[in-house]
Amino acid sequence: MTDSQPHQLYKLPVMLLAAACLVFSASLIYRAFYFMELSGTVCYEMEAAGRIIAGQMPFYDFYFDQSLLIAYLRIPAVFLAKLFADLASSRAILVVTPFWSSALSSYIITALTAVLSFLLCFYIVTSSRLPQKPLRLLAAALVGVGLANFAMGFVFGCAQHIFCLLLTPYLFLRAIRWAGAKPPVWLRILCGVLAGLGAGISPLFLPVILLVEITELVSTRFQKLKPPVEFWALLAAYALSWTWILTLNAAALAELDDWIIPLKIASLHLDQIAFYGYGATPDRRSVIYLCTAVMVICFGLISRAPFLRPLATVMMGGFSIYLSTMTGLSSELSILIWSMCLALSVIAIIFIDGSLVANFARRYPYLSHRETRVNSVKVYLFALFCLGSLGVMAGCETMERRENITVTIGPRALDPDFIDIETALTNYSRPDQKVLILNGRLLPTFPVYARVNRQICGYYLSSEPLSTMANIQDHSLTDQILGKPFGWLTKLKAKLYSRIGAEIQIQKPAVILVEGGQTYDKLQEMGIVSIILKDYTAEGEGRYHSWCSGAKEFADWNYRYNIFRLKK
Amino acid sequence: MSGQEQATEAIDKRPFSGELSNLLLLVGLTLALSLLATGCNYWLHHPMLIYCDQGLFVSMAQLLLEGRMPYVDMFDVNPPLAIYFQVIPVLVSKYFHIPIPLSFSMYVYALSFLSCFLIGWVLLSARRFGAILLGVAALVAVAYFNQIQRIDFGQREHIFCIVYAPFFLLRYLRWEGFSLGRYQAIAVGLFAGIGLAFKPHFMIMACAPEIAWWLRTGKWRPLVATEVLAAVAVIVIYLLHFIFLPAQELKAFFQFVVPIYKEGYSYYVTSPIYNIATYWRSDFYLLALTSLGALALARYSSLAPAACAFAFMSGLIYVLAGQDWSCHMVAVRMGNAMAVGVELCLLYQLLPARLIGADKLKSITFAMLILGIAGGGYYLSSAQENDAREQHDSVPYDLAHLGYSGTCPSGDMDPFVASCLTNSSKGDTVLFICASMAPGYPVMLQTDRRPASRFLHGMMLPILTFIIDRPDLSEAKKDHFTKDKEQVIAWYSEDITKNRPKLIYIQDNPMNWVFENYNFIDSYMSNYKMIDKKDGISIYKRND
Repeated sequence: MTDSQPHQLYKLPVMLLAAACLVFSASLIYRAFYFMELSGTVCYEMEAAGRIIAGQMPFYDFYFDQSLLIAYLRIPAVFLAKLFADLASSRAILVVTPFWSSALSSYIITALTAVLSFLLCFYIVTSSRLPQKPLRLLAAALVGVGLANFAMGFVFGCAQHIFCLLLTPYLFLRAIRWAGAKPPVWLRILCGVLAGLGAGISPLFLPVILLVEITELVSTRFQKLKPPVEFWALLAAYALSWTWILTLNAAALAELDDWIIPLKIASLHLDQIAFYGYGATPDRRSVIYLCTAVMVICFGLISRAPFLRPLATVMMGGFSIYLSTMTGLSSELSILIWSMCLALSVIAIIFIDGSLVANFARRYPYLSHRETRVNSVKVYLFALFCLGSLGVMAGCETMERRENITVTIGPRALDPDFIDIETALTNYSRPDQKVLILNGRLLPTFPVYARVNRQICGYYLSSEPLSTMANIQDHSLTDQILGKPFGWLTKLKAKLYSRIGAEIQIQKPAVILVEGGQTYDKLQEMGIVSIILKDYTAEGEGRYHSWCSGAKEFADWNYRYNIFRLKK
Repeated sequence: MSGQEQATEAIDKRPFSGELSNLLLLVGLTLALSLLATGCNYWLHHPMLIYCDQGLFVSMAQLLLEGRMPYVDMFDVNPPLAIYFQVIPVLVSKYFHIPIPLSFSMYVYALSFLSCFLIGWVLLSARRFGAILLGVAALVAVAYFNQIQRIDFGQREHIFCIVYAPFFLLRYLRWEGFSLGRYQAIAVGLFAGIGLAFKPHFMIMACAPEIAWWLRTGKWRPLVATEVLAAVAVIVIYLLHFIFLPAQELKAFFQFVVPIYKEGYSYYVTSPIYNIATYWRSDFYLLALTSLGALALARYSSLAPAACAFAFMSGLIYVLAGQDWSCHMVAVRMGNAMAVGVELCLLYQLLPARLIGADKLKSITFAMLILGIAGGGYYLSSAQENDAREQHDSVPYDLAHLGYSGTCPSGDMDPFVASCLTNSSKGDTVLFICASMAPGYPVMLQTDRRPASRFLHGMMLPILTFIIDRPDLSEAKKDHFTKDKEQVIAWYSEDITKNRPKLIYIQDNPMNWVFENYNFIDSYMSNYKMIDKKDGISIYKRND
């Protein structure tokens, strides 16, 4: 980071800070218009939170494959959703809150977290008393925070987004520390605690923060080896964030240890063709293109603007997480998108403040006869950048929405026999009945479960373990390779499927949706299809037509669902 | 840390002992040449090994020398430079009577050696400066990258990397302000220009490090340096040569081949996350890791960030291309290899002063020398040992069957070679109607048979069928491409009648779908009988 130069006159970049506030407000207002576009992963975590509130034991009473911290963080949203539902006197809520109230409460809680994060960053920047140059970079990054919130799109509020919101004040704090500022201890502890809490959301998040610290250490030739207070606070909060393990009983711990964690680890290193299909996927290539452009620029500017280093490091951390999860979903790209927005804003201000604009102004006297004119040009240019970025992002979202309309209409237009699975669930079941979706993935099970306002039958909130198990078999992995005792796989397979069979027989969900292909074949192989056919009638095939904006997250034509309806 | 302080920390232009730098260059060059020699030795023991894409271009060069016109008498989608470039190995094979695959691999190795010498020549300009340390690290990394190439060996991307590497290092020295010789710059520029002209997007890859250097230094002049002009000159000459091509060839390429591939490109496209997160995930992880290293070490040198910029842009091209083909990853791997080499070198100087002494450059040099001699020696001996073990374990195939002396590992021969040799004789024509270049290539080269059709592979057919089946295609376009498909089938029938191939290999999937309404086999292959079915390919033999 650039060293502080106390002899320089301290001057707050008011215009940049004003721009940051405006962009941030615009992003929250824009997202408020689309609050009903709730990501599937958020619905999943809210469902888990709801069950915890209802007294169920995670992992034992219901399947969950994330850190419980995220479920606990969703509890306020669930309470708020119930409150909204009660206020609206919705008769449909017996157990499940209506989708609109979940979406609204999730939006409100996320927006409040975003405001807290932004205000903290704002305070860190304005109270840093850094020289002009680094201060302008930080103020530009603050604009990037606004842009990043806007760019979250329909995954606004997902786990990675929450992590970014909690991490950003820490990044700003570290940046001003590297630049020589001395923020108060309470602020350092607060930022560290928030970042530690964010890192606890997923085991993949802490390495991102560590990478930032290591990269900075290496770049300064290990000059400041002693960890600062904020880092200790971070570690302490991180350790605390895993204390949810203490709330589990022995049975839940056994489930977690015996198969949930091993299967999750296996799913991260196996080719999960069931996750994304071979020929189609959530297509976020545009993010990779932009990431490349930003990285190339960072490689060039890094020696002149060291603040880009932590941002680019977070980008690379986010990129690695995206690769490791292998789903290709927008919710897994949020860290990358977030840090990219921050880096882009910093790059924009570097170019605007750079010699290119000044030289241009010098060459054209109309622009340079007064210094104020050059400054005005800079202000206009940055305003143009902000408006342009917001416009481009809004344009892209609008186009994606139009594309989804095509996706919605397309298959039906081609083949009207395929009913939308959401319609199938609502048409073939009553509000008090349970439903079951088996597709080997989390999406689109959620948000469909949440949207149809029906109870979920049985243990599996997500049937992802089924596809992981199938992939383990397809890759011919043995118990030994997985580090488990002989016969573990066979027992586990029997356990997973027999549980489904038993739950169907006991709980009798009104509708069962089984995705064709791998999931259906395995269910047939394990005798579940024959169990289903005893009490259910086949109602043809359905498809998922994404109503979410953003990329075509599983609104793919490859996926066909067999619809089974309970016999009267 | 201020910008000025960072500039003084950069080791690129830090003065350095002349004798030591000479020694380092000598050891580095020896190690690089030894790595290349080891790789070359592998290919010498595999005289018939060549992969499909590479084999196709060599075969096209062979046909070109026989007077066939590209895109008229032999169809492919790639621009013609890839064909011209393979003329030399064909001539060498012909005049020295050696198998074409061997001639091809030796040709590629000759280019690799030349590239290595050019890098050495370029690095001479950085003697007495810290840049030579990083340059030598990059040189060894490039040699290692070349040595480990197998399936992508000799691909256009690999050739591009070979010819581009000296240019990259020369540009590094240019941007760092070293004085470089004019002849040196011209030679390196011309060499790189050939590679850059192979595919248009290679130029985009080469632009990425230039942007990084430009942003770092803020200078404009290096953008129009001699080597850049020399490379541009080659590209311009190549573009100008299109003017002199026969009108028939140009029409076939631009009005027949290009529109079909443009419209049907998505036939080969697979999902982006599948492409980046399955087979080549480790390459992308390495890219992220080297990028982190480059960010952390940027203040010490511009070489690692530039190598990462190149690798990143190559990764973008891979994602843009939309397939999981390994060859598209080759440039990413070279960028990664160079970045790893340079970053390891830079990381060494971060060790505490009491460990590495006061003169860090000298200390790094000694470390590099020890590591180069000991580590390199160990690596080379184990690589040789592996090759020898593989050679020992393989079943030898007598090349006398093919009219050459010696043997090669039988595993190098394509599984379809046996049926081809058994059912046809040297000089016979053979036809492969398959959705990709394999297995027609390398079978044609390994058996020395003649292609029976202007279509050296059947890619055009499934692509046309895919286009016609597309629900969003307008009626006018559908008619247009249906006519094209009928024309292709008519050409196939014409070629079968005229050249009377002894054997026809048809890939059942997707050709059953392609020929669904054409009754191709009954109509045009009435005097052929199916003799075998292997790996989804039906083999037909002419009755008479």
